[in-house]
Amino acid sequence: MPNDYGIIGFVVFVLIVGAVLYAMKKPVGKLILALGVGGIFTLIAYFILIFAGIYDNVTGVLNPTPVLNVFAVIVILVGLGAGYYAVQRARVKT
Amino acid sequence: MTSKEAPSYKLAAVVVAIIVLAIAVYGTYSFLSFNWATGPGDLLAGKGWTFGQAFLNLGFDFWLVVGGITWLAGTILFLMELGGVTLEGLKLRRFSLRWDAVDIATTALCAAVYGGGLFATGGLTIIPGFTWIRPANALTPIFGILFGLPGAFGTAIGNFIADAFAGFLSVGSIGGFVGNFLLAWVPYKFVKDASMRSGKSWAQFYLWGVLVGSVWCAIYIGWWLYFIGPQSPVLASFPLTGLPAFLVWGWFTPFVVINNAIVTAIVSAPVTAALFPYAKKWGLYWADRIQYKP
Repeated sequence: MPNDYGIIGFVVFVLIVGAVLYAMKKPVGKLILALGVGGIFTLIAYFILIFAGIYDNVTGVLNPTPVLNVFAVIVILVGLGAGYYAVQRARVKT
Repeated sequence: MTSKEAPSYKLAAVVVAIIVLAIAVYGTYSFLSFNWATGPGDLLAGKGWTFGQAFLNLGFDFWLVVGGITWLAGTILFLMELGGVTLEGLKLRRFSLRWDAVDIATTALCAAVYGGGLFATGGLTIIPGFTWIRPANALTPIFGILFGLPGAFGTAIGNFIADAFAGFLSVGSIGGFVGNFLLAWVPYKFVKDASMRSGKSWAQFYLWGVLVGSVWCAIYIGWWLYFIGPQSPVLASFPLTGLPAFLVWGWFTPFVVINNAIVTAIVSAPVTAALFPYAKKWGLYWADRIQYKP
């Protein structure tokens, strides 16, 4: 856990910078804020996986498992689907 | 490849591709044929992985300076792109990207596909806690060349996600974030013809997209790990990661070079050529979305 403070600090920093830039109505603020929010969700998932004992972040990660591969495929499909949907929707609007 | 083009470009493309492929294949072959029974510590005795040994032989002082310059250049470029300033040749230009639903969706799509692709092989660990066999690296130049900045940011986020889900998340991931951004950013800026219909574009792809991108990314992350590691000239008394310097420069950095280069050299260019018409048709091609300011 102490090794993780640096990365937690980094994500919180990105979140704050993103929020400030978004409040200042800078176009890139939306992206940086999204990075920060995404980072928070990623950290939550990371700590859930650690505390669930699925892997150890110090001694040597996890072994290849079908669960990991299935999870990865789900992420890819959700990403592709969401991206396709958003792009199509944006095209209809414009 | 276009017939109007000077034959010298086609010849250059072939020569550059052969050189880059030879480096990538040699690095990979020497890695696979390394006698693992001797252990990684034999690098210090000059009996290590030959490709890694070549990196290590340059010395820690060399890497501290050269890696530092590389790191600084990468970080400045990353921050410039965030701030709406980009490099065009040797000139700086202001640009405007709307970061609307399409750009954010493209970023998210790249992040999910790259992140998922990476952590699908997260169990194939090479250096525990730091890197693994990553065939999904082949996606980075494709995202950069087709989607530009959203693709590069998606690549950075995808690497972060993969670090988390594969159990590699640490302060080192900050270097990985920008390093992977550069992996997509270099081909985005330097491969001028995304349709890949000319010899020049293939030469640019192999030189910048495969060689420079892979090396820059590897040195960027390597220097970051060295700088925050136990043998750092600055943070030695309070190291943020535990990777010793000889592992950083003798194993991690050269491995990242070949891990990036071998798949991008073989897979990425034809896939980019195949996907370009769709990216263009769907309005996702970066050159159709970016606006330069005078």
